[in-house]
Order: sequence, then C-alpha cells, then structure tokens
Amino acid sequence: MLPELGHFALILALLLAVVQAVFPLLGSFYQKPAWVALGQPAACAQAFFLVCSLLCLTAAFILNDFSVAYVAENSNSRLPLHFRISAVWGAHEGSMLLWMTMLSLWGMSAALASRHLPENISARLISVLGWVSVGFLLFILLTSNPFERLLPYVPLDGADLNPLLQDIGLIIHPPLLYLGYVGLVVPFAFAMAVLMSGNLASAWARWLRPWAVTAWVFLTLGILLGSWWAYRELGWGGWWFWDPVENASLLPWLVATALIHSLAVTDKRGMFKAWTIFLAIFAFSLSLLGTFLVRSGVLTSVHAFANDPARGVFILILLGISVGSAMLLYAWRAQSLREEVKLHLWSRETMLLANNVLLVVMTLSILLGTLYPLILDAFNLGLISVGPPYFNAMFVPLAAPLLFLMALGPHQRWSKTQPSEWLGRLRYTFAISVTLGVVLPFVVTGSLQGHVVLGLALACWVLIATLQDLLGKGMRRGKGFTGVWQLPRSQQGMVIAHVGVAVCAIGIALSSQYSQERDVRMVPGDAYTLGAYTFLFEEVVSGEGPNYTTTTGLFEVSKTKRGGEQVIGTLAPQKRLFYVRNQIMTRAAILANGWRDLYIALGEPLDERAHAWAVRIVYKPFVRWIWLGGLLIALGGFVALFDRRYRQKVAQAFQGAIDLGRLKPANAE
Amino acid sequence: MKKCFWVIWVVGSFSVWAAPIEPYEFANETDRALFQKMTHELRCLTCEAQSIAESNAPWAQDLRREVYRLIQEGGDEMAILTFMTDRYGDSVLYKPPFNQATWVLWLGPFMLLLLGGFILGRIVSRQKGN
Amino acid sequence: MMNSANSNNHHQKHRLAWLRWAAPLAVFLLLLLLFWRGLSLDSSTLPSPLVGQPMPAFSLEMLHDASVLKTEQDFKGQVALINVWATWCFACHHEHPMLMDLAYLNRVPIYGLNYRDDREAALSWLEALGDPYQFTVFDPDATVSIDWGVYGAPETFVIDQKGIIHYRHVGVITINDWETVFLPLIEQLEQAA
Repeated sequence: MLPELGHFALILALLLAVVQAVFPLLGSFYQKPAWVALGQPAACAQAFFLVCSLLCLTAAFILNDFSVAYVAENSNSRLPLHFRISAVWGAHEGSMLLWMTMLSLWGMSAALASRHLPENISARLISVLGWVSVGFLLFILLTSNPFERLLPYVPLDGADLNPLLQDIGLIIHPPLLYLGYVGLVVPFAFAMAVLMSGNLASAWARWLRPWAVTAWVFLTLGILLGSWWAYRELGWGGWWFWDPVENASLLPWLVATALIHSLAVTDKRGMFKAWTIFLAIFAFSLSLLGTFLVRSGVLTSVHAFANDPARGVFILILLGISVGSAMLLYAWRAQSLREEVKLHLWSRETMLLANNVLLVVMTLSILLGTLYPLILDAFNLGLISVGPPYFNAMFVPLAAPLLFLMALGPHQRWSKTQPSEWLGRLRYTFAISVTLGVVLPFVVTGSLQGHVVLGLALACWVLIATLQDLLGKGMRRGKGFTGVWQLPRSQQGMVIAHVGVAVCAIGIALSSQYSQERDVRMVPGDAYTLGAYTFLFEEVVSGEGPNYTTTTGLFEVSKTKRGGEQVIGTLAPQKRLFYVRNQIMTRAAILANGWRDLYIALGEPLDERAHAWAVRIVYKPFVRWIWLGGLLIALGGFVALFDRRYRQKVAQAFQGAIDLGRLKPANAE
Repeated sequence: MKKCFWVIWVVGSFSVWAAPIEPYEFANETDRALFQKMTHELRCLTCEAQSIAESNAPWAQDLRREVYRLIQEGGDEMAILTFMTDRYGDSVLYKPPFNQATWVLWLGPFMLLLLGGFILGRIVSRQKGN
Repeated sequence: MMNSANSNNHHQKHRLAWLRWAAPLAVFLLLLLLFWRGLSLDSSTLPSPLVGQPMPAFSLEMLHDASVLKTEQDFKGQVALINVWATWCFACHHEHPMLMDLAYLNRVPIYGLNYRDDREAALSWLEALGDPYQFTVFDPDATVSIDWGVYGAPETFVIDQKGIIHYRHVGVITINDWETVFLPLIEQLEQAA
C-alpha cells in the first residue's frame, strides 16, 4: 500500500510541477496575477508530495518490504536500521528520488523567498524551477520508478546494500552533494528569469548571492565527505582519484566558485552582468552534465549507475532541452545586459575576473580530459585513457596563478588601486613566503622538491597576505579583534575560505610528496619500522558484525623519541566478509593527529600455515589539512551567509530596482 | 551478458572493495618509487576508472607482477611503458602520449589559458584607449 | 590616427561580438552530438596492437599432458583460431557450444589457451562438455597470455599460415560474428596464400 501511495504522490508532484511551470509563466506575459499566484502554492505542494514519496520509500526499506524491487535489490533484513535508511539513496532510482526531493525543496524555498523580487522575475523564476521539476519527475516516473513491485514472486530476503556503501560517510555524502548539485538550480532559474526580462539590477544579484553561496557550501561539503570516505573506506590511502564521477562533482564546484566571485562584482559594482548570468547557466549545466555522465554509463561504459540505455537517452534529451533553451535565450537576450566594461588593471574587479578566467579554464581543462577518450572514440581515432597523471599535470600550473592572485585580490580596492598602497606591505610578505617555502622543507627533510616549495610558498603567501588584509581592515574599524569582529560577515567569510584554501594547499603539497607507503608481509609478532614509527603486529582475531564476519589485525604503534620507544596507540584494521553479496571489504585503521596519519590496511592472508598477512602501512603527513582546509572553505561560505547586507537592505534595494528599465512594475493585487 | 570480464558491478563511482596489498620487496627506494608510479599510471582495463595499483582484479594483479618483474630485471620507465603498449595499446596508459590524436588534449588547457589571458588583457587595456 | 585606430577597434569588436554566445552554443551542440554517439559506443572492446604481428613466442605445457611442451610453432601451418578460455569464466560457458559446432564443421583448427585456471577443473570441463580444441596449452599464471595482450576471457585470435595475427575477437563468438567477421577473413587469408 505504502509504495503505491509513494508512487501516487510522485504523480501528484508531477501534475503540480506542470501547474508551477505553466501558469506563472503565462501569467507573467499576459499580466494575469491570479495565474502567477498559483506558482508558490504549487511549489510548496510539490515539495510536500515529494517528501511524502521519499518517506514512503524509506518506510518500505524500514519495514523490509521486499516486494518492492528497489528494496529487494538494495537491502536485507539483517542490514542495520541506519543503513536501511541510507540504502534509500544507495542506487540509481532512490538517489534520483532524493535528488528530485531536494530539487523541490530548493524550489519551494526559492519560490517563497522570491516574493522579495519584482513579480515578473519571481513568476518566471518559479516557472523555470517548475520546468526542471517536470523534466526530472518524468524521468523518474518513466525510466526509474523506485516503487516498482516484484509481484507475485516476492523474494524472501533482499540482495543487500553494496558493502562499499555501508559506511557513515555514505549516509551523509550523497545528500549533501545532491543538495549542492541541485541547489545550483536556483541561480539557473534566476538567470533564465532575468534573461526573459532583459534586465538585471544589482539588487537582484544581491538576492541571488546567498543562494549561490548556500549551494556552493553544500557542494563543498559533499565533495569533502566523498573524498574523506574514499580515503577511509577504499584502503588505498588516496583521497582524490580524478575518477570521472569525482570530476563530475568538481566541475560544477569550480564554476560555482567562479559564480560567487563574479556575483560579488555584479552586486557591488553592477558589472559583469552577462558573464554572471552565463556562469549561473554554466554551473547548473555542468551539474546536469554530471548527472548524465554518472547515470548514462557513457563514460564508464556498460557498468555504472544505470544499465538501461533509455535512461541515458532521456537525460540527454533533458540536458539538451534545458541547457539548449538556456543557451538560446542567452544568445537572444544577453546583449541587453551587456555593458562596456572598463577595468583598471589594479582593481578588485580585474582580480575577480582573473579568478574567473582561471577557474573556467580549469573547468574546461578537466572537462576536456574527462571527455577526450569519448571524443577520440566517437571519431574512430583510437582508444585512449586519460587519468590522474594528466589531471595533476594540468591542475598545478592553473592552480598556482590562482593562489598567487588570491592573495593579491583582497588588497585591491574596487575600481582603482595605486600599487604603492599594497606593494609596500606585500613585498615583505612575498619575501617571507618564498623563504619559508624553501627553508622549512629543507630544514625538516634536508632536501628540496619543486612541488613542495611551490605549494608551501604559495600557501604562506595566501595565508599571510589574507590575514594582513583582515587585520588591516579590522584596525580601521576598531581596536584589535573587535575591529575584525565588526567587519561584514561576507568579508570574514572570504578570509576564512581563503585561509582554508591555503591550509588545503599545504595538505596537498606535503601529503603527496612526503607520504610513505609500504606493503609488507607480516606474521603476528613481527614489527615493522617506518621512519620514527614502529608497528608491532600482535594478533589476528575474528568477530562478527550484524551482516558480516570480521577479521581484525591488532597493531601496537610506538614512536621513537630521544632514544626511547613510546607506545602511542593501537590500530585495528579489519576485513569484513559480507554474507549476502559474499564480498570482502577492507577497513583501514587510522591513527591521526594534526600532523600526520598512520594508516594500516589488512590484505590477504599470504600463507595460512605461517599465519602471514599482507599489510599496508602508510605514513601520511598533513593529510588531515586537506579536509580541514575544505571545512574552512565551507565554513567561510557559511559565515558569509550571515552578512547583514543580504537581509536588511534587500527590501529598500528592491524598491529602487523595480522602477528600473524595461521592467513592468508589479501591477498585481 | 556479452563478455566475461571480472567486471565489478558497483553502483556509482568506486569499484573495489578490498585494496590490493602485495608485499613486493625492493632493493632500493628508487625501485619502489618507480613501481608505485608505474602501477598508478597504468589503467586497469577490466575495471572502470582504476589504475592497476588500485584494483584487485586478477588481470591487474598479473600486470603488477609484470611491472615488478621488469623493475627487478632493471627496466626503466620507458621499458615498462613499451612493454605495456606493445601488448595493450595506448588505452592502458593513464598518461596518453603526445601525438597527432592527443595534441588538443595536451595543449588545449594552455591554449584556453592564453585565450582567457588575451580576453582579460583586452578588457583591461580598453581603459587606456580613452 | 588615434581615432581611426579606435573606431577600427570598435568595429572589430562588434564583428566578433556574436562569438560570445555562439561559441558556447556551438560547443554545447557538439557535446550533445558527441554524447548521442557516445551512448551507442562500446569502449570495452580494445583493438589489439598485435594485429599484423607474428605470434609472440612461448613455450607452455599441454593441458592434457604436463610433460609435453608446445610452442607457437605448433599453431602454424594453416589459418587457425586460438581461443582463450577458463572454467571460471561465465561467458565461456555460453561460447562453448558454438566452439563445439565450429569444431564439428572443421573449417579451421581451433587451439585452446587455458588462462589462469586450475588443471583439474579445466580437464573435467572438457570431459563434461566436449573438447573442441586440437590441443590446449596451459597458462595458469597468465605470463604468456599477457604477451598476447589478453585481458579477459573469452578472446579469440585468428592467425594465418605463417603465424601472423590478423584479428582479435573479445567476448563470445556468436553465429553472426562467425558469418560476418571470421568466415570472410578466413577465406581471404586462405586465398592470399
């Protein structure tokens, strides 16, 4: 019964989405306030029914209703409750439903908040959100219905959730990532609405800023969690693999980053309007593109998310219609937004534009690398693979100037700056950073590596220059930290995020260059020494989990300190054999502090009689800094959301904006 | 079910559950570094989006053994790459060679950067004209 | 001077203005086409760089008799098929009846290359399902198979009389494959000699 209700709720949501898509749009062109007024309630009701639908599917998982095909394929009666709930988004159909539910929640919030916007903009924004919903609801209902029943032959038990996904990281990673992905729909819908109206007042850009930043924060957190999960769960000790699926999440992030920077210019200076609109379209297009790449199997061939070719075709059509219409609209109307931009070389605008150029080039390069094998294959020019060595080679030369300018940017004033204003203070910063970059690694390791020097020097440069800027501006407001505290939240957020980037860069540079990895054969009683650390293999014990059996190795870790050995902890890497799918999972054990991770993964038993095991021992310095930096980046975005300007002045600002240009003032009510 | 690879059927992105751990022993750190570099730069053809260093597929296991053997026999990076491409073609390489078919791939990012810099430069230099 | 340069500049700017929207649109349309084509591509079949090359040299035990060593010379003489198979390979079960039919037709000899397998298991497989091969060589640790560029099973190589590899088929041979690919190739190779 519940699955049918869920299915029915989905259909209702589709009907409501149609209402939301059609009436406000027509109403805005024919000046019918009553039609426009349908948009908001329709968006709310649509979100309500989608939440109902998602709850119905969740209930089917909790109640072990294996007559539902999707539940039977992805759950099992022995699966613990929290994993039964996260199994809802463990495969294609359910994750699509979650995706869609989040889309509708974003749509509802944006529809409600859009009452601050002029009515024409608001109506068209709601309508575009409705159209996107229609497309994806049709996709779910026609090709990926999660409520399909297996009647009359109901399996006794389910095939279990993929063991790889039975992890805390996977409970929260997809929802956050999807929140970010689909959150980009708001800037997209906004861009479309603006293009239809042919005008963009900077006050509207201010309206959009918190939305773009929120989506970006979720995307940041989603990517971060994915990387952390991969590090913990996969047992390779890596944290980024340039896998096409990872790239699919990085691409919209890069463009969203560009977008929030360009929005700052549009908000503060009323410039880059057409470009900002383009980025808003681009970001959501990439998020759709990612969905297509992940779910159509076009890149990873036969075996990714979906194996039904109809799905690939359907998403491709959706992609074509939504992005195609946006591009056409842009081609038709963007001219009216375009202004003759005049920039001074030393101005914040120029710096932000340079940031945009670099981020977009980075995006296009990663896109090129990801799609290149497909391009060659399509033209019968041979089969090649493009992997981490390529992406690393491309990423570093593009990231370096980005970091370099990141330090300079905040020191520039809007419009025009005399280089002498900042040259004096940044000269020393530069010298100190380069010195630190060279001296620190040399003193600690006794050798120099190009990547470390570059990474460290740039990170110091960003770190010091950013803090200098913060303190300088804070001083002008008041004494010490009160001044810093009184700065606008968006400025504080920017500083936190930039510091996060520097921290992340340190983590990447040091962990990738100084990590040590050993695969060794060990018998209980053996000790292995790696650097200052000694790992004593004590024993192997067997145990049992809810739906798996475990083999756990126990290692005592000690550190040599001034001649003496000191035990610093015990590590218990595990191998889990999952009953239903008969799959073995490695769970690495990690002993971490702020400076380094000690990481052990248990391999195969090499020799049953001798009880010898293959063991991977990894020393990873500063790897935590990568995620710490990522967290700071997200935190910066979060702090920026509390800027007063986004709240207080909005109402007044719009009063001015409504009278602008070609827009008809709201003549409703 | 057209073929029988050791295809790992996984939902979503990552496709192995147990990390391959093999206690190969090396005479020196250079050899170990070379082994790690090479196994990360060769693609596991029977997996999706994994290098042979990351895959537990039997084929990847065989190739790691071959890489190890070549290193023990004194082979350098070039020798290993040639060995692999002679047997499996360019698609086994994660770092495609620079040639007629891939120059766009390798030069594309720099051309884009130049183009971006050019546009930026033009916008900034408009100021001077007036 | 200054003025004319300026207006020239402006003129040029307007002439190229359409590129701002046309370029992204064009790229997008090309991408759509690419994806459309991509949906029907099957990139899991790799072309073999060994096509056109002589067989890699080897010396392997016969599956049925560990004391007999076979080399690539033993495959030479006629146009022949070399089939890579294993008992753990699910698709090889599907392919086996087809191989039995081909052996019955006796159009060309078929040699087996047993790949990463257990000798006992392989022998009982042939006993139970029939043996379509002239003989099978045994490659339990895949050393020779790697020289042949094997990356899965089943794979089938077509060699000519001199031992030059002319085709590598990845996956199960279907009747359609046999009629449209193998047979024409075999006839062509036989006539060429």
